Amino acid sequence: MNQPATPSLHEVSSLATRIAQEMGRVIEGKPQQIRMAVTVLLAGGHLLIEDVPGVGKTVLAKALGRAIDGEVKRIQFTPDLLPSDITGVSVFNQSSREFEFKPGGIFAHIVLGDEINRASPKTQSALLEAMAEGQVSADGQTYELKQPFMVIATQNPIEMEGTYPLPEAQRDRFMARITMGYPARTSEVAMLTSQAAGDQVATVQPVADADSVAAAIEAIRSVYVAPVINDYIVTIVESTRRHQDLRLGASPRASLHLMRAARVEAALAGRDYVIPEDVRKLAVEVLAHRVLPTVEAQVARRKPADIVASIVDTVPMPSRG
Amino acid sequence: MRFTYHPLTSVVIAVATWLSLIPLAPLVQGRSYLIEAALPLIASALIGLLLAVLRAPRLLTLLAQAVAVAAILTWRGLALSPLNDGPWVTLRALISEGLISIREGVPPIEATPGLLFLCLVLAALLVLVLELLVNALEQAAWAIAPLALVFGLSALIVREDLSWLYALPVVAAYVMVLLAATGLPSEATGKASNMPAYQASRISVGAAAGAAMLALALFVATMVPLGAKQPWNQAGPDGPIQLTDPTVRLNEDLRRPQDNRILTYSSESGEPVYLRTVALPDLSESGARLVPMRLARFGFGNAYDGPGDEVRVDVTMDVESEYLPAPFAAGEIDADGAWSYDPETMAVVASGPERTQQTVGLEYNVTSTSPSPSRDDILAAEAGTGVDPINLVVPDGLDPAVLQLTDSVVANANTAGAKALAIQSYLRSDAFQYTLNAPSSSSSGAISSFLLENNAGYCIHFAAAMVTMARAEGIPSRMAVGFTPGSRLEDGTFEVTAHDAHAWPELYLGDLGWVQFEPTPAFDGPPEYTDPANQPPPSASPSPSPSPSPSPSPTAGPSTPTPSATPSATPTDPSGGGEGFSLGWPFWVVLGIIALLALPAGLRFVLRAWRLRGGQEPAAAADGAWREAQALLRDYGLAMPDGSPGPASSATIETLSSNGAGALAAIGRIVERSRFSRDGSPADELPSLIATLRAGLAEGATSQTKARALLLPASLFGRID
Repeated sequence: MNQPATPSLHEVSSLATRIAQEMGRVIEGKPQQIRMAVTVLLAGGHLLIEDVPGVGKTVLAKALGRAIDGEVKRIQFTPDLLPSDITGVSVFNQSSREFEFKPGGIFAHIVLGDEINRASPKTQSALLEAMAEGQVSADGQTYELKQPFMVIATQNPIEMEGTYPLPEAQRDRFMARITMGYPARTSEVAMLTSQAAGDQVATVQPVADADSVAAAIEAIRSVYVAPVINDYIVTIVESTRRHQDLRLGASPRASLHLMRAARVEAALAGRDYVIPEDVRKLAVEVLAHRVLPTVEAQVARRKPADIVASIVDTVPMPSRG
Repeated sequence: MRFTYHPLTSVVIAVATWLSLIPLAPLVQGRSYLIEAALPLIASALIGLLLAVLRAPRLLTLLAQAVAVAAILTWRGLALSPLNDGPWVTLRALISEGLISIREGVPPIEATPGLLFLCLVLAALLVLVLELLVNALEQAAWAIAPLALVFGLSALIVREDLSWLYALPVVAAYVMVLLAATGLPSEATGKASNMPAYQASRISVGAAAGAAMLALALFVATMVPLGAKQPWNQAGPDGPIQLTDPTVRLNEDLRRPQDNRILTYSSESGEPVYLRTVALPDLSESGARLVPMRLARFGFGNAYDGPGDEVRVDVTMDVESEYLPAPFAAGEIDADGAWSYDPETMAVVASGPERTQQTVGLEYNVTSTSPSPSRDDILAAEAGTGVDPINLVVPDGLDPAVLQLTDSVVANANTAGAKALAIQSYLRSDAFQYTLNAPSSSSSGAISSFLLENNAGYCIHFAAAMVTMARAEGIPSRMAVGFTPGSRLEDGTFEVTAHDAHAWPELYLGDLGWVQFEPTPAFDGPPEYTDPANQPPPSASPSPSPSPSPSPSPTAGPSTPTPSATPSATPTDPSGGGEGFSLGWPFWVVLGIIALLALPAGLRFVLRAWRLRGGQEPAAAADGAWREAQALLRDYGLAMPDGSPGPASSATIETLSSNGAGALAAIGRIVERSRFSRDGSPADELPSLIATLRAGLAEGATSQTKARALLLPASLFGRID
């Protein structure tokens, strides 16, 4: 892959701003979700969007895909979807008399996994393995996935009927989970007005190509994370493991994801170093979907996001470098 | 967040303090004390109100109130006192005058300046304690202790039961303080104070507390006979006590064929002591006599507060006596029965219904302070002033030759003390003989013949002669009566018999007060300075006696414990005048106040210099600068949110002027880089940025905020991290 020279953090920041602006044209009143999506993209992670149907999960995912001039594929997860539909399948080519690999939906820069919890666990795990390893093995052959590679999966809340909730281990592979929430009244009105003129998502123009996004991901690595910040991250993540309301805390992978996301946050703020606020800001989105509340906490309706937020509030921010 | 208290709380406290002073009314004549006491209370209330509005820290408010109240006390003290000897001396004299009024007076005590001043001090202390409890410590419930103090004092001292009505102001004051402390409507009390149920419960709790207190006061007042609790109040009727002439008994005792035992005593030190019963200030043509005494029922002791050795004796009396023999100068007496005390003659008089009978078989103990002036002290002393003029009267009917004799005796002496020693030496010389075979009179005729003709007599003549000669030289003097130390028994105690009865002169000398002399040659163990020829450097002796008591003059009828009349109010100056201090004391007071006011600003300056000091590691310098920036913002009443320097400073800059905002943002950036970035950040610019920030803050602030930031920097009163 012929990458351009590593861009400066300033260029990364303006790239992110362009993408976010382009997405914001069609998604009314959700700047935080858009920013989070861009953050996860630049951090090289995968995004899980979880909410009730019809609030714009797919629109967000599609808008992000369209804003980047790369290969975007969409996989509609259904109960009868097979793992090979995702990874691809080797078929016998009559003319060449050889098996030929037909890549599945996963071979794209941005993969939209719509309603991922409607597929069977077997199919889900095929996707998630690919997400973790960045490669696909089929018929003894290993196929590298494209760079950048980002899966944006949407799912309905697990209480809905006809769904297979994602296992905890697999949710851990998503860098962040966001919820859309119902739009504000004015935003909803504005959405109706703009939709009257046709599907707006189709109007989203690519503002960055895949190579520049990959280069930006590379550039993010130059953001410095001071030892105290790493210590702060680990303290927060450790606290989820000891919290009385949680029966499963966040994994070391969560620490890693939190650090990477915080780096992007710092870069987007124009800094080449991470400050505790970056970590703080992202902690709920990065950690909340990985922890499991105890039965007592569930009965008391204490949500994981609130528990993580309270942990972040109680862990003191480091004041010395 | 700083706790804010309601500005009116201090006003309520002042009013409550004033109310709590009302039960003092049965003790003090007139109501002027209530007016005087209002002054410090008003000052405290105003300062509390003002500083609460300015949101000053509460301890600082208390400090300011204390300073103001002290200033008012000084002012009123100097205004009340007739003296003008410099503030220190004047106030001390005023306080001792007040204490004497209390000690000698019978309630209701006349409102002398000293007493008024003590009332002022009481009010000031009460209001400061209340401020401390309610505002500083937030322990409003304990306000009952200071508020009930005055009521308790009155209840204990007033002989008849105190009317329950006097409990009402105290109850009202307490309820007021409770209600004020639990929530005058303010932001600090929060939403709850807006709820009617909350207010209702507050008021009902206050009412219940008040009712319970009132019930308790009534119950205790009826159940406990408070009047019987006072030792000096057990005396019988208030009528005059007739005291017999002690010289008669002295003469009888000395001539009694049988040597009856009067008392036995043991002193803690094992040393013999003179035991004194009374002094006779009136020496007239017909002899030495008592003057009417003004007996006090309580407040015994402290008549002598000079230096000396403590002497403690346990005495067992065998016979009846009107007086309780005690070593000079008694400070504390523990004896059963009813006793009254005459501070003038320092006599303890039996005042119970049994009168003299109550000494028979009485065991008691006395703690006295035995003064020990040196011979040089005596030689240097001038005649004292300020005592009752009766102590200076040279008796009529005296042979003029006595005066000539006196002049010749004291011819070589310059000071009153030296004259006294010369007179004593003269009387102790071989020219005089001790004999009981002499007329038992101390009349002026008898003294004349004793001195001029027969030169023989016993103690009463020697004493009367010395008193007469001293008075002729203008030295106040009187005759003390009592007992010589007696003889030591085998078990170490001393036995005093009738034959040990004795009389000796007491001379009032300048700084020393009443000094005892021993002109009678027949007695062993006289004061060591009595014979200057033999004893050049005298050491301690059983008798001499500075007595700094400012002596009020008796005014009432004969031998009567009466309601007190005005003390002549001429407090002596125990320290000998305020040398040098009177020159510039207002200057020093003002200087002190300025220094006090400048203290926070000075501390703040030192802190700033320390935080920004040179030669620190860049990271440490950045931390210091960041703390300084936070402190500056707090000084100007701007809150800096918690967080890393970058976000925290950018959250604050909206409220600043452009210069200040730029400086603060730059400081935040530099500090943040130094903490979290890879390469750190140079800290060289920080001091100048801090200066810019200061200027920017001052630029946008009102002059009031600027003054507060300079004089009362809020950052001094909280942790900066």
